[in-house]
Amino acid sequence: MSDRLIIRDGDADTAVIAEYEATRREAVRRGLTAGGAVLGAAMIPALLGARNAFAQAGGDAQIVSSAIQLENTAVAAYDAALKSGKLDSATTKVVRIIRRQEQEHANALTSALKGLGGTAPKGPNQALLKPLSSVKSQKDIAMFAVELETMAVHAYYEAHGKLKDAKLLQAGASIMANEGQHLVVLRQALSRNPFPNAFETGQK
Amino acid sequence: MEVDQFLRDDRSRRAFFSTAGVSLAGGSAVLLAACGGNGGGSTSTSGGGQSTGKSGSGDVAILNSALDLEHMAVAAYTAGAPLLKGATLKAAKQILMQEQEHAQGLMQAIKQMGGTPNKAKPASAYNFPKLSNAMGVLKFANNIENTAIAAYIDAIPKLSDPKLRQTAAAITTDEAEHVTFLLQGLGMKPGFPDAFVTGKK
Repeated sequence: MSDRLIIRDGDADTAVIAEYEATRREAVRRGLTAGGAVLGAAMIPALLGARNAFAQAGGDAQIVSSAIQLENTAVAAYDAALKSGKLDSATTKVVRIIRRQEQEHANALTSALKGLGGTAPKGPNQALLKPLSSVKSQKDIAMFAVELETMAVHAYYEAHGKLKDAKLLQAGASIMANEGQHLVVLRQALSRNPFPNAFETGQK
Repeated sequence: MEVDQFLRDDRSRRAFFSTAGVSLAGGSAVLLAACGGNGGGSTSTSGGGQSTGKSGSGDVAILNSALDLEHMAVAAYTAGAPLLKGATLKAAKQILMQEQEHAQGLMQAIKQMGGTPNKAKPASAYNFPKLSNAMGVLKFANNIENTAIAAYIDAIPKLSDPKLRQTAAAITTDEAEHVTFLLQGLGMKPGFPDAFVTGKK
C-alpha cells in the first residue's frame, strides 16, 4: 500500500499531509518499523482514514455510527487473530475476553444509534483488517492490536469534543476506558510499559 | 480501621471520600461540586435527551473537586508505597507520578480559567484505613481508582468546555489502566472484567 494513498483519496491539503506525517512518526516512535515494517506501512493509511472519519463525523448519530464500524472492525480483527493459529493458549483466553467486550461495545452503540433514529453500519472496515493477512507471529498480532486499540482510544477522545448527549458522552468514556485496559495487557504482551501516558489520548 | 472493614463500611467510605471532594451517592461517586448547588455544572434538557453542561461557571468548581481527589490519590499511593516491593513498587511509583500529572494538569486548567486551585491536604487529614500489607494497599488503591472513574464519568457531561471533557476522558482511561494493573496484582487476571468501565460496584 502506497504511503500516498491517503493523500490521493482526499483533498491534498497541507493539514491532511501534516497529520499523516505526524501519525507516521508516531508509529515509528512506537517501534512499528522495528520488526514490523510491512505491518506498519500497510496499516497507517487505513488507520488514519478511520480515525479521520470518526473525528470529522458531524452530529451524535454520525459519531456513533463511526464508532460502531470501529468496534465491528475490532471484533473482526480479534476473530481473525483467534483463527490465525498463532496465539498460545493463555493469549487465546485473553483475546476471547477482549473480542467479547468489543462486541458488547458494538451492541450498546447500535442500541444507542437506533434511539437516535439511525441505522447501524454492517460489518468491519476491510481496509483496516488487511495487514492481518500478513502477520507471522503472536507478536505481530499484538502489535497490530496495540495500533487498533490506540486508534480507538484516540477516536473516542476526539468524540468527547463533539458529542452533545450526556449519556453518549458517559458511554463513550466507559468504552474508551475499557480500550485503555486492553492496551495494558497488549503492551504487557510486548514487554512494553503497560500505562505510559497519564493522559491516555491515543496520540502518543 | 483495616482496609477490608473500610471497604465494607459505606459510612466510613462516605466520610473518607467527602474529605477528598467526592460524594458517594446511590452506589456511585459524584464530585462534590457536580452534586448541584455550590455553582456546580448545570445540565439542561433539550428534546428527549439530557444535553451537556451549558454554563462555564461550574467548570472550575468541578475541576477543583477532581483536583481534591487527585491530591488524595497522591497521598494514598505515597502512604502505601513503603509496603510494596519489586515490580509492584515500580508500577505504583509510576501511578503516583501519573496522579501528580493529573493534579498538575487540573491546576493549570483551573488557573487558565481564572480560578484558584485547591491546595493539597496533609495525609493526616484523610483518615486513611490501616495499611498493613501489599494486598491491603492494592485493594485500597483499587477502591480509590474506581471511585475516581465513577466521579469523572459523572462529571464529563457536566463540564461545559469540550476540551475539558476530552481531558477528563483521557484521565479516566489512565485510571482504568491503573485498575487493570491493580486487579492483576490482586490475582484477578487479566484485569478488565467489564466492557463498560464505570467505576461503580
